[in-house]
Formats: sequence, C-alpha cells, structure tokens
Amino acid sequence: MIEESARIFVVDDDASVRRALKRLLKGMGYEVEDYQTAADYLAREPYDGVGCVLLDLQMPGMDGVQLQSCLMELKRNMPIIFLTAHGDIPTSVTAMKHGAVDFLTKPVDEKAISTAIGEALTRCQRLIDEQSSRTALEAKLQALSPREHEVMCYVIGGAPNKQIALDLGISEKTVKVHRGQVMQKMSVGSVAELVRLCEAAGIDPKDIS
Amino acid sequence: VHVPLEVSEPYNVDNVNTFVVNWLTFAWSACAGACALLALLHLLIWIKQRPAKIYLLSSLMAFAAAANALAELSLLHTVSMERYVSILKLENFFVAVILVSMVWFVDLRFKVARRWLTLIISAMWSGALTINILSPQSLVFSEIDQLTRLTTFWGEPFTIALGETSPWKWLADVATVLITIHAIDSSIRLWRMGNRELVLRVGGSIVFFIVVAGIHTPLVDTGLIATPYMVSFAFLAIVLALSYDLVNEVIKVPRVTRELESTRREMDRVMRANVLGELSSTLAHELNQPLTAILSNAQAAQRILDNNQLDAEELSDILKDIVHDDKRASEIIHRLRRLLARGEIKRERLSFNGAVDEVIKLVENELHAQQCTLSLEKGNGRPMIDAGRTEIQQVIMNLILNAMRAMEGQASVNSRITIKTGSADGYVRLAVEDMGPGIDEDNFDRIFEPLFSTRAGGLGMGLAISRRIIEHYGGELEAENKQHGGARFWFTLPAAEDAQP
Repeated sequence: MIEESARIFVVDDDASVRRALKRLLKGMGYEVEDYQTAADYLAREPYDGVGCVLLDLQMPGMDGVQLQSCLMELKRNMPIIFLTAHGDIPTSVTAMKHGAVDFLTKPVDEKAISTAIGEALTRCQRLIDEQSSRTALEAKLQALSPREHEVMCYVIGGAPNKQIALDLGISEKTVKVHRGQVMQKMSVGSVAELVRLCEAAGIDPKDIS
Repeated sequence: VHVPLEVSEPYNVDNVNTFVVNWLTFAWSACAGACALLALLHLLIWIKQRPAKIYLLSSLMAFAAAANALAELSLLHTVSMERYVSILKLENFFVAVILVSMVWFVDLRFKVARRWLTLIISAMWSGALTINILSPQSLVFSEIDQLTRLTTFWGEPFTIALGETSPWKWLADVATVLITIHAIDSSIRLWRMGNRELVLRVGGSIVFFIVVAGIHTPLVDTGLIATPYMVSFAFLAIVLALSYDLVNEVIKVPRVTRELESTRREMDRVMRANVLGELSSTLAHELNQPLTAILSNAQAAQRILDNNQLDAEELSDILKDIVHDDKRASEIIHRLRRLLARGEIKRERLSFNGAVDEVIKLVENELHAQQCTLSLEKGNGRPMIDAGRTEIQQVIMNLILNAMRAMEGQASVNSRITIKTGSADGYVRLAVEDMGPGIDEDNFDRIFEPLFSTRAGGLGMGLAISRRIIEHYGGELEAENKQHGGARFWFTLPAAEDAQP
C-alpha cells in the first residue's frame, strides 16, 4: 500500500481542528504535518514524496482557493482536498476546475476523508510515476550524441538505412552502428517501442526529402 | 310683546340687591363656568404637551366661550344703552375669537381643510372686528332704537335691543356661512378618507350648532322671535364636543404607545434576524470548527480502541479536547441567543468593554472573510452602563457591519475598522471608524431616517433603530466624515452612576 508512507499536510487556522485531524490521520496510518496558515505551508520546501493537502477554505489572510492557485503557479502539484464549513457553489466549482480532488463539508466523517485521501494519493502516485518516467526518458535522450539523435529521428520516420546514409552523407555501416547505439541507449528492443517513447517525449520524426 | 323700558325706571346692574338670581342667571353662569373649566383643562394639556398647539386653540376657544357667556348674561340684565353697546361690542369680539380659533382647530385637527378658506374666514373676522370697534353701535346695529325688557314664558325679565341693522352685518353673516361651509367641506373630505368617527364627533357637532346659532341669532336680532341670545349654549356644545374628542385622544395615548412599543420590538427582531442572515456563513463556519474537531477526535479515539492500542494518555487528551470544543460550540450558541433573545429587554448593569468584546467575537470571522482587519483601542478603566445588553450589542454590531460594507471591494490593506472606546464626564463613548468613501454630503441628514439606504437590498432600518436605542438609554448617536477619508460613527451612553470609574 502506498498510503503507508504517505504524508498528509493539514492547513487550517483552527488549532483544535488541526489537532483532531492530525490524530485521526495518524490513526489511519499516515504521516501528518500541520500548518496554521497558507503562508506557513508555502514556506515549507516542496515535498516530493506521495502525499496530499487537506486545506481549509476559509482562513484569515490567504484563503484556500488563493493557496491553490499559488501552488499551481509554483508548479507544486500535490493533490488538494478542500474542507469547508460553508462552501458556496461558485467557489467549489473554481476549486474543482483547478484540480482539487474533492470538496468536503465540515464536520467531515472519517470515511469521506479516507476515500478522498485514497483518491488523492493514487493521483499523487500517478503524477510521481509520470514525472519519473519522463525524467528517465529525458536522461536517455540526453545520453544520445547529436548524430545518434539525428539518426533516431530518421528511424522513427521509417527511413531505411540506405536512405539515411545518403541523406547524411555517411556510410550505411556507420548508420547501422548509430542505430544500434540508439536502441541500446534508449533501452528498446524494437522500432515500434522507440516510436512510442519518442512520441511521449515529443520528438518529431524526420521525413525523407 | 315688546314692552318699552321706562327710562325713569333705571335698572342698576351695579346694585347687587336688584340683581335677582334667577334661572337665566343660573343657566348662563353655569355655561360660563363649564366653558372656563374645559378651557383650563385644554390649557393644562397644552402646557404639558407644548408641540400640540391644537390644545391651545381649543383652550382659547373655550375661554372665549366662557367670556361670551358672561357677556350674554350681562346683556340680559343691562338696561343702560351705553353699557349695552359696550358689552355687545365685547361680546362680538369673543364670538370672533371663538369662531376663528374653531376654524383653525378644524383646520389643524382634520388636516384636510382648504387653508385658503381658513385664512379668508380669519381675515373676514379681523375686518369685522375692526368695524365692530370703530362703529358707534357695534357690528350688529348701526342704531339701537331702544332696549326692550321681555319676559320668558316662566316670567323672568331680560333685555334685548331693537334697532337698525348695521350695513356691515353682512360681513359677519357671510363669515358664518363660510365657517359652516368650511366645517362641512372638511368633514366631507375627512369622511371620504375614512375617519368617520372624528367627522361625526367634531365636524357634526360644529356644523349642527353653528347652524342652530346662525339661524337663531338673526331671528333675535331682527326681533322676529323674542328670546335671549343663546350663542353661548351652542358654543358650550361645541366645546363639549371638542373635549370629548380630546378625551378620546388622551385615552388613545397609552394604547398607541403600547402598539408602538410592540412594533419597535418586532422591528428590532427583524433587524437582528437580518443581521443573523448576514452572519450565517460565518456562524456556520464558527460552529462547524468545534464540531469538526469533536467528530475527528471521537473517530480517532474509536480507531485507537479498535486497534487495541490502549493509550490512556492519548485517550485522555482526546476527551479533554472534545470537552473543550463542545464548550466552545455552546459558547457560540450562547452568544447568539443573547443577541437574539426574545421577550423583555432587561436593563442591567453591564461592562461596556465586555459587551463590545462579545460583539467583536461574533463578527470577527465575518470580517476575516471580507479581508477586513479590526483594531480595538480600549480606553482606560472598566466603565459600566445600565442598558439592555442585546440592544446595545445590536447597535455596535450594526455599526461594525456598516463599516465593513462601506469598504466592500477595497484592497485589504485599505480595509481596516478601528473601534475606540472611552469614558469621560459620566459618559461612555464608542466610535467605529472605517476607511471607506465616507458619507455623501447630500445624504448626511438622511442616513438616520428609517428606510433610507444607499445599499442595494438594504432595509434602511439599522441606523434609525440604532439611534432610537441609544437615545432610549439617554445617549446620542452621530456620524461624521473623518478628515483624511472614511466615516466615523460614534455614540455615547450615560455611565452607571455608582460604578467605579
């Protein structure tokens, strides 16, 4: 279970509520950090593990929705669950549009919290996975030499070795070597696999002129 | 049967022995006495109720009616021509006073009379009085031929004059007709407006007796019937009708006061409910916070028990927190109940600053939600006041919410409310200052008027009721614009007398 190592960030101006939620969440097996204000939470360095934010909507100073857009600007996309005592519909719509996981009404039952947190953590895990595979892919691409990169673009465009050699003004043998390097560095077994990876990385195939 | 008086048989009024106390004397004296008594009554009411000028009018009218009755009585017993004329002139003067004050009474009481008619009648009588003074033989006669002694059917002698009718008499006659028209016209108008009771009581009696006197008097003047003038009795009847009206008004006062009081209470409740509506989101938040904490704490405890990890210390902490939050919730409800308390408003000794603090606790969250900061500058000492807690708190809350609304939409750095309390010279004072646009000069005089509001959807009752409450407790509520922008609303209240400063 990913939840076990997950960390929940509680942001609420009310000390009693913070303490109670902290107890409950710890009882559910999460790590918990609590913050009195939005600013306090922002001051914390970004957490890159699995987690989510339980955010009170009505707070003095910066309120929940403001914190949400602030986090979006900072590209800190940890999933947010809003807690509200009296959420008006326009606010909740805005919050959900901006990617909030859920909008829970206080006083909130543990089942609702549990479900929302489960969803938030799954989402967070997915975000992290996507992020790490993207990072890995980028590392692989970085490893390619410029010439190998060039050859790769021809390969995913479906060009035969002969044609590539002609276009680049090198021998067909050299193309074959580069091609082998690309397949190895990108750790793929087939051209189809390579095409899919490049597509994910946003690399355009090169057509034969 | 006119029996000319023998001039050789002087009838000396100054001689008490010849002044026989008979029925005529009794009746007219009683009439004069009754009028004078009622006049005093009306006068007293006017003195107690200065703004009600109408009672001064009715008093004046009744006094004149009393004097008129005495003048008539003198005429009945006078045998000296010279004396008759001077008393007649005097009587005409009293009649004029009666009629003019009566016309104005109708004008002011009914509030529907044609003012120009009232003025014309007054002017005509002024003219008639001038003629009355200037002409040798009064307004009625240009020449009195003789004084005639007549007897009533039960045999009491009285004097009437026979002579040439004055050419100016028409002025008085026309005026009398106009008075009748004035009374009828006003009555009809009032009748149409539905105040039929007043019409019947006042208008009806005035018309009836003016007509009676107006028909009877010329008949006597012209010698067609031989009775004494009986104008006095017509006037007595009118004075009685007015007094009856007066009594009704006086009886109505406590009832109207009661009705006003209950209307006022109802308005207060409406206003408070209105305030509650505005605070509802804040209150939901405030109440939900402790409820959230309680629920989460309880469920955390259940988990601990379910997992058999009996941590007594943790459980005890949880229970402590639950108790604390429960008390917190009930404190909020308690404050609310105090603010919305129905029923009698009790005047009690209370701490001024304490009352202010309670209100601030209630509105704090709302202010936060509106990004509005509040600073409180408390004066020295712990002044006490004798007032209704809910009422005073309602005023304070109203002023704070008004200040908040005045700054709606302003950047939060420019959105600050400053509350200053203080006490001096036996008064406590509270001022609420905002940083809004201030009060529009054009509206300055109207902001305390009921139903005046510059806010869309505003009831326009807040300041009106607030001022009434403060004045009820002997203080004042005023507004002013601050020198450097923003408005200041302040009120004073008398400090409790034996309280420590």
